[in-house]
Amino acid sequence: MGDERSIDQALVERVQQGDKKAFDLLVLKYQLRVSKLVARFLRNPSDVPDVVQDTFIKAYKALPSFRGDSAFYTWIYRIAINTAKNHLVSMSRKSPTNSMDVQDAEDYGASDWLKDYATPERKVLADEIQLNINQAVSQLPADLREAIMLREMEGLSYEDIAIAMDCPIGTVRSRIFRAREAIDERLEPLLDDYSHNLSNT
Amino acid sequence: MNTNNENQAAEKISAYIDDALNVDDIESLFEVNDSIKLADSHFSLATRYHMIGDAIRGELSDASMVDVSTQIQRALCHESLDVTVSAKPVKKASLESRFDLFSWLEIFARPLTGLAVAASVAALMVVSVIQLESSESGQQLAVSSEVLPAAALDTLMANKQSIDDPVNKDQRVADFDVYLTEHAEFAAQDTLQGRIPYVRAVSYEAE
Repeated sequence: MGDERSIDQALVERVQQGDKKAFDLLVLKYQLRVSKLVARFLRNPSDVPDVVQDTFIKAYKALPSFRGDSAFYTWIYRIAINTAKNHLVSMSRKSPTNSMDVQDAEDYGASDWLKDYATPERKVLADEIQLNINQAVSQLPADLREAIMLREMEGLSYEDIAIAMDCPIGTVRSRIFRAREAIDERLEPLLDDYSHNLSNT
Repeated sequence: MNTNNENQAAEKISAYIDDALNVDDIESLFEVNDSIKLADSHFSLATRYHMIGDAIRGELSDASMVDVSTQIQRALCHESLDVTVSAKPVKKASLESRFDLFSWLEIFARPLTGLAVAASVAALMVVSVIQLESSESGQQLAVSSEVLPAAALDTLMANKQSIDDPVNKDQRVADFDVYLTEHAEFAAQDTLQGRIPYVRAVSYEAE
């Protein structure tokens, strides 16, 4: 398996050569992590998407000058923090954690306070998603459940999971995917309904 | 759209978000990207996979539901031209400017000039050191007839005959001493001074 940094660097080089699809893949990989990071800085959750979007657009514009001295995620996290701070300044609000480091922000148990600011509809949806995913996980075949739990709960790499489950890495990859697919079958309709209701209101 | 290809793409995305793809596999992800147009559906798929992970860890939050990939794609559609234009022509412009004389001088002549100055200084230092050593030691090599040119040898032999002449011997010796003193700089030494007599300047007068 390739390490994160070399894969990111390969994608960055493709973007620098003008391949925009490579940047789409970087967005796909990091948008949620950046969203969580930004959400820890902003008081208003509804501002998060705008700041995340600004972060990636700024990163894209600055990418030609990115030399790979640091990891891509470190670089984009720094952009995200600065964008969030600038957003707070522009909104004449004070950042709750001006001296917060990237790692501090990641380790900060933010989801709890974030939930306090979530809208009631979102809270209901989050609860429903949680319930459905828990049920879906409990109904998975044992080998799929073990693979997805080792990955998501324990944070093990595919190599380590392969050793733990005594099977090839390809099998691990397949099991994790099948587990996600099975869970997603429950999740997707929920999100579609929510989006549909949101657009109607 | 082929369901098999779609599943293959989804599996690769699943591995990609776990950093479980090789650098070589990235190419295959681009092949998937081209063939089935990795787009909104796959971005939302990746978002849902992330959300599943958050839910399993009990970290599901509002931020877990943020998906701005479509907006970013749209925004970059307008930005991409500027970015790619500004990224590549920089190199082009610098290549073109290399053919300017000034740029050429900057690139090539400056290091050569430095090298020439350094070589000159080094040569001067070598000459100075040699001269210093010779002036300190004051040693002069004995005149060897083997290394003298024919004309100088004739002069030396004529002077020797004159000196051997008992009549004017003292006068000749005195003259020779004066000659040697006045032409000491031409004496054959172990320095560059000894070479000077062998340099002959030839010129033609205008008729």
